[in-house]
Amino acid sequence: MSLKPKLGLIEKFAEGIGLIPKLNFEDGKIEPMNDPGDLSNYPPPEKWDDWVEYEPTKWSRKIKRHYTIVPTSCFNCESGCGLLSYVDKETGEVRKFEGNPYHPASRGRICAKGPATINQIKDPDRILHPMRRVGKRGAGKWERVSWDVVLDEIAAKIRKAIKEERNNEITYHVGRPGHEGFMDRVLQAWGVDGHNSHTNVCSAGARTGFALWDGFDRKMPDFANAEFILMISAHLESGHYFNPHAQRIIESKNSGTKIAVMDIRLSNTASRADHWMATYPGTEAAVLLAMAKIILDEGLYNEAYLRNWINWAAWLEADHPKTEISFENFILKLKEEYAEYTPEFAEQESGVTTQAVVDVARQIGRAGSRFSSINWRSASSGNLGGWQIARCLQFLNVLTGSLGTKGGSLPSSWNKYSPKMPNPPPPQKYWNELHFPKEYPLAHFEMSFLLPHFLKEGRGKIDVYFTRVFNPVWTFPDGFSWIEALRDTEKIGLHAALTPTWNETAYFADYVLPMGHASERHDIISYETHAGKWIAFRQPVLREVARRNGKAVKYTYETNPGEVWEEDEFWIELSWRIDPDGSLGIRDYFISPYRPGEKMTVDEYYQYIFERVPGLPEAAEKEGLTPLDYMRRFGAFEMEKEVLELHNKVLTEQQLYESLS
Amino acid sequence: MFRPLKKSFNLKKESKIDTDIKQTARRVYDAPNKGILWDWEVAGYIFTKAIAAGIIAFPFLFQMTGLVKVADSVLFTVAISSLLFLGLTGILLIKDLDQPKRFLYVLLRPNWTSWLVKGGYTITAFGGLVTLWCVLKYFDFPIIADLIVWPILILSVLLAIYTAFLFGQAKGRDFWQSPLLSLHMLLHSVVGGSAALLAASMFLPALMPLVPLLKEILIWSLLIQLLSFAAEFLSSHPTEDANKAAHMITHGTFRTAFWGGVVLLGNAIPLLLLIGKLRIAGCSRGLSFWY
Repeated sequence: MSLKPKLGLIEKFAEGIGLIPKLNFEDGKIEPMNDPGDLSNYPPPEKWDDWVEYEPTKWSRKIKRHYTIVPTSCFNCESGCGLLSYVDKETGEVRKFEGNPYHPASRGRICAKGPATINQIKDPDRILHPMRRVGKRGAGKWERVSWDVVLDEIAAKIRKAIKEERNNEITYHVGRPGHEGFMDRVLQAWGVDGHNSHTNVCSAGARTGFALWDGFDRKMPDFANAEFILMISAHLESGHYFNPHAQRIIESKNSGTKIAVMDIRLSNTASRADHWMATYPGTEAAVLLAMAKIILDEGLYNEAYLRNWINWAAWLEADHPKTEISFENFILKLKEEYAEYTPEFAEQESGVTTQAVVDVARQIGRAGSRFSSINWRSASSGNLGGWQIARCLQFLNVLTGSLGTKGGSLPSSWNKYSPKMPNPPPPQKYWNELHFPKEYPLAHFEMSFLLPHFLKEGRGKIDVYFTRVFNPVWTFPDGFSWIEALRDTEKIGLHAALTPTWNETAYFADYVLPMGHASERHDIISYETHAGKWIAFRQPVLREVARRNGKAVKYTYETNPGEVWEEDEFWIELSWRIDPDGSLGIRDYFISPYRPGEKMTVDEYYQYIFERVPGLPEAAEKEGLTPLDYMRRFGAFEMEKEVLELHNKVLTEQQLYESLS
Repeated sequence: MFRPLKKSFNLKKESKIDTDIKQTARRVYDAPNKGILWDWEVAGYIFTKAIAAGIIAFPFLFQMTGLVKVADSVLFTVAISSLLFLGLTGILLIKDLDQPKRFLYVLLRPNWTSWLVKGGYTITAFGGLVTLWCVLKYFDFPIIADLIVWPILILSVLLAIYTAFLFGQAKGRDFWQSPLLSLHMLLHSVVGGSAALLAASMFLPALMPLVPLLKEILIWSLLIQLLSFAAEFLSSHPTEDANKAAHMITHGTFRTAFWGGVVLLGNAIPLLLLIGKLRIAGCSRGLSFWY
């Protein structure tokens, strides 16, 4: 549609004699009335120290506000997208959050939950001080106590349990970790098998299916470079990393990639897909098996990949001992194995038409090594035997040779950085059967949803129970069993809820310990969001502002609202008090790597880690910064842009030796 | 302070969509920066416009109808004065625009459905004809000059009342959707013009023959104006916002300016002063003029 309007006589005449400028209607575009550069996407980093914007609440009086911009990471889902916090230089108040364009995963594009952090930090109902229960547990009465009291009372109980070798009575139950390995290190330092998670009501089913193939329990689909994408029960990657993935899925689609979605719901993803396969719940595997058959029958498999990376000979030998061992015979026998899984069978099972199954299977086969897939998560977690869905899905990647390839599906750990922490403690020597009971030897994660039942059965007790960003009373099936267990002080001796907000589980705690939101805490984040590898920093922004202003801050709660703290410092302090004289050997793991014998500070912990991130010290030096300061300034660092085909890399003798040890 | 980033830093790769957005990004509207309430420029422009129209209309009308014999020097003086007030009106109009630099666009990229444009052309035409009349008079072409007096008078009425149609087009301004608004505007001009001429008569004896009639006009126009205020402010309005605006004027922020300035100083006191000195004969003449 042309934007060119008709000019009247007066306008034509006025333009003709130069009274008013001529409008440029070339290609239907109207010349901007403002100078170029008037609109920009985001503040450039060189202006982050003093960024000026008009005060929106005073519009139309043009009152200028000066901000200092501090990067951090979102804490409202597992994506941990990069945020920029705008701190008013005059009032010292955090005014708003926007995307950090220098974050390699989210690239400045964030969902509504990121900017909503401002609602959380200014929530008038938030808990601002540590609270201790008064009266019976669950009675809803609280008194304010100091962090000192909290630390001393909890530390004394833990110390007693450890001294009495009741190490399994200490449990840390986490919903959303939001950090890389900090707590695993703490629990190992204490020598307890105390980690429990929510994973068995979430991703464990699908993880199992993947892990049985190659040991990697999650896949990183390289959506950006894929030619064909198959997503099962994923609405634009509904779970982890949904925003970084969603933007790459859509970019990919915009450049011609075809998308198929298998989901019982017409989800957002399905609505954007080229093929929506609305299977009956739990029948996804039938469709996947039929697709495998089509790929085999029509010769769309990647022979070179299968020859190199599949133990086809071992399989022939085991299942078809009378057959001569050759690749051709392997394919032959495999076809026989899959003969029953016809597209018609798939249609009968799943309701997806034969034509759709064939059509999608052929596109997967043609995409070859650029076939990307994901199962996140309901098909696997919501159906008995759902782990087989992930297992069948991975088979399509195997057949097409699209594992670890550009545009394929990558093992998650290739694209995720594991920080090198100071003085790592040895693994604990305990096995906690409340988490991993012996009758479930194949449990891929803790049998967390059974915990209250185990306690009720008298299989054990918990002396100190930490819940963190975890609300099983509300989110787990059978919430009332959790209430029963949490009410019973014989079964759970002490319950400390580490949480930024009130919740149903915190209601049954002895201590409610307010922990910070995205802009009020330290964490390291590194996730498999694309083919690169990156690390990001979550930091308490007002503490960073204080540091920039030359103000000394010892603990993060000094700059947070009220006495809201952060876990990192809490655990360091708690560990120090569990072992006040060093006799338990715990304190050794919380000593500064830079100041022998002194207690480690949170800054030193991150300094140590960032100094060991490959490429970061060099990048920081180019900016004239230390690695820690670089992360404080920019919030994120991409160490590799592409991590692909690691399986094709020849290892050195040394690497081979290290991989075995 | 930050130093500029070096090239080594990992900037995000800009997608084609980003580039397209940047290339095509343009402002499509100008955010208003005048606030919710009209500022003094609008009130000032209504004032100067009312005088510009009224000050010329009465002497010209008297002359053309033969009601009063008006000296040429008076006609010439009021024409020049009208142009001066018209000039002030123009300056205030331009100053009130969000983008004063673009004031020519109003006239030269006209949107003919807008009374801003129609009003702009009314002002231009009125100013042009009055100037032409002055030129003709100066170079002694009285017959041709007389020919354009009627168009000037018609335009002076339009000049006085077009703002009512302009405010009417501002649909969000509920209070100004009143059907009485054009009457208000006309009365402004009548009051403004006659009062200005009466004030000027203290310094210009040549105006004295006009004074009796002007006094009567002023009295009656003030009376009608007060009645119209009563109709406007003492009755309820069709919308809640209009009621609120009326309440704001009579009881809120502007109550002192309204009761003290407009009603008392601007209308009631002048009316009482005028009535005190009024002769009965004058009154009957006034009645005959208005009815």
